[in-house]
Amino acid sequence: MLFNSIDFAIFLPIVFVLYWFVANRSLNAQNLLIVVASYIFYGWWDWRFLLLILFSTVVDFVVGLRLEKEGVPAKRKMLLLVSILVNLGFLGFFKYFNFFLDNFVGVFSLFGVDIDAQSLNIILPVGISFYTFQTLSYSIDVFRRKLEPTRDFVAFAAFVSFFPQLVAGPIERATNLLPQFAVNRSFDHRAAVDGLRQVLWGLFKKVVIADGCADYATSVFSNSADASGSTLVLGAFFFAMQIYGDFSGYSDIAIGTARLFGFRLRKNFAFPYFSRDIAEFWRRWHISLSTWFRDYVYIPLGGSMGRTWIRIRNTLLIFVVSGFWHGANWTFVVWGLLNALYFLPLMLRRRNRSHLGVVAEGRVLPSLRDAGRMLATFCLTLVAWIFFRADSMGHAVSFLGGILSPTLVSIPSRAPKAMLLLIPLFLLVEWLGREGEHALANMGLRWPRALRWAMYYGITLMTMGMAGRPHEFIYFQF
Amino acid sequence: MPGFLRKVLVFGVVLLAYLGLMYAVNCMSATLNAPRAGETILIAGDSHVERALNPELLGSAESVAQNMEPYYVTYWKLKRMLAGSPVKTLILGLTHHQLSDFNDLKLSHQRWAPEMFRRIYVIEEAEAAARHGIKVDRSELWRAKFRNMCLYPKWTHDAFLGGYTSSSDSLSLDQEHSLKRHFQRDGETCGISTYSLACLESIVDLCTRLGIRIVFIAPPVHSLYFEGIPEVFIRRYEELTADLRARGLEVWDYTRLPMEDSGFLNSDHLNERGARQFSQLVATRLREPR
Repeated sequence: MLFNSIDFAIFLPIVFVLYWFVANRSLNAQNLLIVVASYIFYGWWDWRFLLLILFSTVVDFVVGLRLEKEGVPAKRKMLLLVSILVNLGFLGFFKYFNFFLDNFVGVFSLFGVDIDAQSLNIILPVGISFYTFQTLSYSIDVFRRKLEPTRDFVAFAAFVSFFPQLVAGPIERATNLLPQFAVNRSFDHRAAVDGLRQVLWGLFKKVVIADGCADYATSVFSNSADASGSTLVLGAFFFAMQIYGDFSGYSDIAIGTARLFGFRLRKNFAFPYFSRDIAEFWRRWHISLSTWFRDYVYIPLGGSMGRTWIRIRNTLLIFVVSGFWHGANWTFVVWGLLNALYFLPLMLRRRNRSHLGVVAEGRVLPSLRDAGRMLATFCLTLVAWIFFRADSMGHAVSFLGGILSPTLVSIPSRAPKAMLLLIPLFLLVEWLGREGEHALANMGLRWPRALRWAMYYGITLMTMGMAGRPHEFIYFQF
Repeated sequence: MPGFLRKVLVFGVVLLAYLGLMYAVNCMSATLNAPRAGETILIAGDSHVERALNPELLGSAESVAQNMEPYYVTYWKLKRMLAGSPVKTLILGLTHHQLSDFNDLKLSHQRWAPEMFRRIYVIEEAEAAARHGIKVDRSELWRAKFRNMCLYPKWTHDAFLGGYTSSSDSLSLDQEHSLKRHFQRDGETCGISTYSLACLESIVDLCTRLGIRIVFIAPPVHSLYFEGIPEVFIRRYEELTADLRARGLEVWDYTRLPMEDSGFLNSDHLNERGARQFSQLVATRLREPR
């Protein structure tokens, strides 16, 4: 079920009413309702893959309980290994099987050995990269004794399958979300109203910005061989807006929806395009994934401690793995590598934590220096997005080659005029709201109610007006 | 909780009231400003006549032809435009590909349906089409209606009108692509659209009832395009034109009219130069006694 569909618009109020008015007398009933609703939400797409979620849930639940009882380190490691193998096994099979097979065959054919191996027609279960990482975090935290394992299977199943963030995150940590299923939830008016505001802004980002940019970006990337350099730059810019609107929009809807049910999810985006260097960008983009890799891969490898080459190795590894997480294609690996190359100079000069606060905090305009840094950082990410979006390495290289041609100084082919007006408006709202939890968090709170509601109606009508055939969220494919 | 529900309810009710008001306003403006034909000659059809006939060269004429328009849409359009109008002659495009059942996909295929509904949301009779086996993407139709009728007041709702379109570009030979689009589906030759033929018949009935002279015209196409038209369409077209002629209707078939390449925009459309030549030819013939 897509957030931007009529189905969800009907589903959400029904679940909301059942949750607060029917199941509200018992915590267990509320948790059970969440599990049932989440399974319906997921099964709407393909019910067969519910078995995967259920299996992963059972395995990690049992592993958690066994880890608590087991005192022998070797056996504890074995248990953790079971959880890792099951979760990464699913992920590896559904997402990477064909990639490894094709590359394996390719490498052998380089040496003149032809292997007759058939790729499998595998459907990638939506959200598998997200929920497997979420359940892994539980097993690892229990293994590290950071978290008491739960004995409540329903609560655990609700934690794994919680529908707002099941298919595209934020990737929740068991330490944050699981305890919320163990305590009574009371309706918080302020949180629910703010949640709705966040949902509204998320829908605007997805339907108006992301879907509005999608057609132009797709047409430029599909016909890049014939496009002028300036058109290619504009196409890459539209894709940068599309992916941000799409993914951060999804996160906003997820976080806002969770707040309606009394849950607080982790922030996943913090206005990344207003970053002053690439390190800040990665503290603000897909935060739940970056911190997952940081805590479960980077730090165990030694993090930024130790000798220089170890720090370089760890940084390269973390970015490449992060790229590979996005998809089984070399373009994603290069995207990760490129970001690592942007990041390394900052880390080696110990400048990667220079910008921890919000840019131009307390002011309307940034300094000229900050503006220049933001622009430079954005341009770097734009180059990296080309690899992310391209179909193949050859496509990405020819796209970049096309940009660096004399036609770079020409008028780009016609972009949708409405988007050229809406994107600056969107960036302006994001800029003005950058100190809040989300762009609309503080916007208009001191305005007269009529004016504030007029703003909400304006956003609602624009979203309704631009709504076309629902586009899937890009991150569903990861 | 009650405060929250009240707020959500009020927000929803005000929103619904606004959408309802806009719908009422737009229904009114669609009725009050409904376009009527204002000249004595009306040109209708799809892109072939849209690009081939320049109404300025035909005297008191106007064109409402529009690209990718199937006969059923032309019929819905004419029903609204002809009644009470001064039209004496209807020039209607009659080409081979308009008989093809690829036209039956215009209300459901992702490629055409959104644009089709954007144009025809006030004149559509999609349910009638659906009863005749035409697949209709209803969600796309409702989306188009909602977007055009409920969001803001619009004073005109005439995107279905069309009109003469010209281009000075020179010939680009795209017959393979065009023939494939017009006559093939999933690698197989398309069938004949019975609903299109039924609507063509309805247009004839309508004109007969209103006492309007109807002239079927097939504009010239490039020989490379004509040679690629499947035999089944050639035969059915000949049967149809023979039948129409037998009933005393005028069919001016210029499909194979010799024309220089400089008059074509592509394999099946005329450019500005070709349209000028062809329109003069038609204008002369229209002036001749019947």
